[in-house]
Amino acid sequence: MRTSATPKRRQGAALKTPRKAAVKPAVDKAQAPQRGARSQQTRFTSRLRAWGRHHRSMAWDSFQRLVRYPLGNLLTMLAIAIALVLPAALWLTLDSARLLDAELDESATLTVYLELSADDAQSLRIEEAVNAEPNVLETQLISAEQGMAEFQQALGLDDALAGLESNPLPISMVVRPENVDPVAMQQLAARLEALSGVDEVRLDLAWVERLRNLAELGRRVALALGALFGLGVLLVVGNTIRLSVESRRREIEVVMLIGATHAFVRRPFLYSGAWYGLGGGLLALGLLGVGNHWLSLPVAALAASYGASFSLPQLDVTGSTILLSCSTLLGWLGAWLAVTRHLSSIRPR
Amino acid sequence: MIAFEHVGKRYGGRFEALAHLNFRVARGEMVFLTGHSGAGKSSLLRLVMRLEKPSRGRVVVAGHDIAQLHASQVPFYRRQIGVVFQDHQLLFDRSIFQNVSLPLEIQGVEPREAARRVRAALDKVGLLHREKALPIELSGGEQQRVGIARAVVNKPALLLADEPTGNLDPQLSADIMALFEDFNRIGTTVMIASHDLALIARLRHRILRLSDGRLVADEGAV
Repeated sequence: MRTSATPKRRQGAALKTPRKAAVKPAVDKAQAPQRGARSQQTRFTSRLRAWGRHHRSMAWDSFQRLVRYPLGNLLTMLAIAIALVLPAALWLTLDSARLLDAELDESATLTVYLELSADDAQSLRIEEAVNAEPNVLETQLISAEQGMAEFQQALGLDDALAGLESNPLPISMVVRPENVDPVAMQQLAARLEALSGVDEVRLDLAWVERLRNLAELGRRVALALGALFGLGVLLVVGNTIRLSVESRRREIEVVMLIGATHAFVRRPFLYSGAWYGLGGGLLALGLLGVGNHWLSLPVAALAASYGASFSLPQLDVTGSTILLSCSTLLGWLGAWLAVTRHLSSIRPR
Repeated sequence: MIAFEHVGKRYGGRFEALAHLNFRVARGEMVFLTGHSGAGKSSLLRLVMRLEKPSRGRVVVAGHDIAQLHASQVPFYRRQIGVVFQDHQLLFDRSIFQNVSLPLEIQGVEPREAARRVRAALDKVGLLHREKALPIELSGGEQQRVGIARAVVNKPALLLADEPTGNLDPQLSADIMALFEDFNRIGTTVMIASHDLALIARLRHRILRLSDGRLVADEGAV
């Protein structure tokens, strides 16, 4: 019989081995004393290299699995793409509304109407007084005649107005404030109204305000939709990965029997999820491009009819990168959730 | 190498699969585990593989109390044990070579070194010429030998086998057992569950006989 005293003694020593040694294979334990720190380092780097190697091979392997069943996987990606397109399109629309908003700020002005009795000399004095006020960037006087001409032009009421005996319009002044904040503008208006010779100050903030509120509402809707559809992407990927875990159940059981860690088992599925996400993101970009192209003509025509030039916003490089990273991350996360939930139910037989 | 101390295992609180098991297997020993089906052979092996924990008592393998192993340590623990299954547990969508290299892949062995070891293991079981074949193309005995090659490819200190000759004819069974003896000769501790009494009686190794979850005989022990 091969059993002698020596192995028994060694077994006794092994029994007392601290728990930390559990991760080391028995073979290494015998050789460890002869090895120095340097070999530990090489073991670490070799383990790191093995880790990288497995990542590379799993990324490639999961990509090949994707290509092997193109139709089903394309459908999954399309579902992801559709879920991404909606919030992305809404966001883009809001982005263009924000550009519009910026232009509005540019044109935010106050109109000061002087008393009818005011003559040119008085109006110049008042303009000086206005310019002395804080938060005034520039002013422009509009004589009664100029005002009449603009009025006629804007309303197309030449004939009716021509019948008037005298010009009913006062001298007015357009004031461009430095700070276009609604509160600051209202304060400025109050101050200007208090100046002598000023009849009325018009400040039409209501619609600017309304537009801003609308934009804010849209932004929140976009965020909510984004969150909702992001959840949708998670579910789509999660479900697909769940099926693929189920179909590879036997393989998972076998590799777990022979000492695979959870991370090892999870890795190929995580890469599949990331590929789904990336593919879905790319498809979403494509769909956005197509939609943009399809809508651009009518939008341009519509804008032209209003005498404006307006083109649909497009995702720039940064936007595209954000969309792709988000979709990839979502795919990865969906896969992680699905695999982790499932691994606990898989026990090797 | 293996120590069972007052081990009991119950399933579902009622059925007692193992009871009052006490035995030790020394490093380098070769042991047969026998008994009628349902006697607890598989339960015992499942404990050693840490697929389950004992309900009572202690199971110590290669210095590790298996009940104390943290879940994250279990994979590393299993890598020290080579297991041959009755149904071989091969992956049918991979070649023989890929099947055998699986444990090395899991451990992150460098590919060239892995290929060398896989070929050595396949050579040992006499299947080097079939490395590119799929498991389905092999006979039952050949599939079992692939399973053995996979179990020994990372040179485990302990080799377990659950009915490795279950479905094989006597000649093939004897060949398989001879293979296990070869591995035992180079220092591997081997534990084989088998009910092929005629065969294991001829081999003259220690035999642990189980009946209804109890150890009823320990023959040929030192």
